Amino acid sequence: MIKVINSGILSSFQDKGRYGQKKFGVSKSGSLDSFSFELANRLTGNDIDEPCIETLGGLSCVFYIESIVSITGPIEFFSVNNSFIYKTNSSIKLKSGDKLDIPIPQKGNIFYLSVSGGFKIDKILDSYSYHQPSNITNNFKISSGDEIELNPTKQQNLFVSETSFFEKRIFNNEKIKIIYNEESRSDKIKNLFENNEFTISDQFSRQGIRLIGKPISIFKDQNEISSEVSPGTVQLPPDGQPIILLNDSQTTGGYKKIGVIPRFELSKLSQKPISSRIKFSEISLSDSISEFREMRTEFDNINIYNYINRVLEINGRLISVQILENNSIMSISDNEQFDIIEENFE
Amino acid sequence: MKNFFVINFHGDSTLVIKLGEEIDIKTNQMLHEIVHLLEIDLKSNDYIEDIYPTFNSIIIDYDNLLIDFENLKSLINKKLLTFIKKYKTDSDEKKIIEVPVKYGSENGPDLSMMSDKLKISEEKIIEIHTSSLYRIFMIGFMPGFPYLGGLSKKISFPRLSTPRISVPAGSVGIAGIQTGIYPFASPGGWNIIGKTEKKLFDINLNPPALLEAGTNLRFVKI
Repeated sequence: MIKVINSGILSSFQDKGRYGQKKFGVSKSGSLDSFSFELANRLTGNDIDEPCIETLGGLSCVFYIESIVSITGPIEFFSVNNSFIYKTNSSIKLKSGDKLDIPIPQKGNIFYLSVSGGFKIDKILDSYSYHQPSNITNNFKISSGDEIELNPTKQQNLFVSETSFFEKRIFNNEKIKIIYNEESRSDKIKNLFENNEFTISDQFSRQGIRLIGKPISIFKDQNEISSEVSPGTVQLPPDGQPIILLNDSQTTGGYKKIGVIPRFELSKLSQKPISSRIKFSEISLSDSISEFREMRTEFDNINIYNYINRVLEINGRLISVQILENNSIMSISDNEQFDIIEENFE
Repeated sequence: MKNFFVINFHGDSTLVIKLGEEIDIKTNQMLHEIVHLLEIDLKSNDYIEDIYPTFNSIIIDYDNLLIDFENLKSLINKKLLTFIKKYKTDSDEKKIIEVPVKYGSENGPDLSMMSDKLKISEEKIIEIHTSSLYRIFMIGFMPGFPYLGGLSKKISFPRLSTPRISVPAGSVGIAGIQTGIYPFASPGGWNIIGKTEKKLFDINLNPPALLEAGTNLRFVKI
C-alpha cells in the first residue's frame, strides 16, 4: 500500500485513454505525454498501457511495501526520504517506509510515476484514466490522504534509459507544428498565427491550454454549430487568443477552429511549462504522418540498460553511482550538491 | 447528383463526414443511419478509435500509424455511395423516452422570471414544454448531455447574462431555441425551469448514457 501525503498539482491515474465513448459525451482522456508515460512502464517491466500516476509535481507519498518504481518526464531529480536524490528516467527500489517526493518540474511540466506490477484499481468505462471535467471518474483523482493498494511486483531489475530521444524530440525549443483545416487555411490566418509569439498562460488544465499573444481577432461574430474537436484542436474564440484543446476537452466545440497540433507534437506541447514562449509552423498531413512514424521508431529503439546503484560515502558525502552491466558508469549524483556532476562516460 | 456528403480531415487522426450546413431532422436522420452502418462495418478494425455523430457531421478518430487519411477516405466514400442507393427516409418512429420533470419553485428557479418576461403563465410554459416531441440530435459537452431540437419558439429565452457557478444535476433548462438537461452539477447559463430525478449517466450501465442520439424525448410533468 502507498499513502499519499501531498497530492501535488493535477495528479491522477492515466492510461492510454478511453475509446469508443465519445457518442455518450465522454472524451478520450489519457496521458498527455504518451512517450514519457510508456517509458515509465518499460522501466518497471509493466505492460506499456498499465496506468501510471500523472502529476504536474509536488506529489509526496510513503510506500508501505518494497517496490520498484520509475519516474519519467522532464530530465530532473527526485528525492527519497528527504535526502537521497535520483535522476528521472530510471527505475529505483524503495523499501517499506520510504517517502518519495516528486518536485515541481523546472524544465518541463509533467511527470509519470509507474510501480512495477501496477496499482490495484478498477476500470471505469474501460479505462483507468481520470477525466477532469466530469465526476464519473473521481476514483482516479489523487488526493492527499489516499491509500492505494499495489499489485505484486513484476520484476526486480533496475533500468536506466538514454535521454537523447527526449532531449531531441520533446524538450526542445523548436516551433510547434500545426496542420491547418482545409476550410480555414488562408495566407492571412497563416501569417497572423505563425508571425505571432505566444505565451503558455496559467490557464493550463487537462482540458486545454490558453495561449496569450497579439490577439488574432478575425472571427468576431461566432455562431457556430457545435462540431468536431480532438486533442490538439486550435480554437480561435472572439477575443483572438487561441485555445489548444487537450485530452479532457469536450467531445464537440462551438468556437472557430483553424487547425490541429498533430499527435507527434502533443507530448512536446504538454511539457511546455507555464510562461514559456512558443511559435508555430505549418506541416502537411502527409509529412506529419512520416514524422510520427520516425519518432515512434526512434522511441522504440531507445536503449534501456540494466544497472545497479552504488552509494559511496566520500568525506561524509553521499555519492550515488549508476553502474551498467558492462561496468561503464551512466551517471554520478552528488547528494550534497543536489546535482548530477557528470554522466554517460565510459 | 450533387454529392450529399463531404469528407475532410481535422488534423492527423480525425476524419469528418459532413452532411449539409444546417441542422435539420431529415439530415440528422440519415446521419444516424450512416453512423449505424459505419459502426457495424468499421468499429471492429484496430485503426478505428471512435465514431460519433454531431448535428450535421460524423466524426471518426483513427490511429494514423495504422491507416492514412486517403485510404480511410476512399473506403468510406465507397460505403456511402452504396448506402445512398438503398437509403429511404425512414418514418422516424424510433423509441421515445419519457423524462419526468418537477417544474418550478426550487426545482425550476427561473420559471417565474421567464413567465413574467414572456407574459405567459407558468402553467402554459409547462404545457408548451411538455407538448413537443424533442429530437436528440447529439450527446456532447459533458457525459450524457443531450442537444435537443424542437423547442417551441414561444418559450425560447436568452441565456442568463451571468452564468450560475453551479447548476444541480438533473436540471432542465432553456437557452435560446435549445432545451436540455444537465446530467451532472456544473456551471451553467441556461434558464432552469425544472428538475428530473432520472439519472442521465451511470457508469455501471451499458450503455452508460440514458439518452441516445437519433432518438426522441418527451418531458412529462410530475
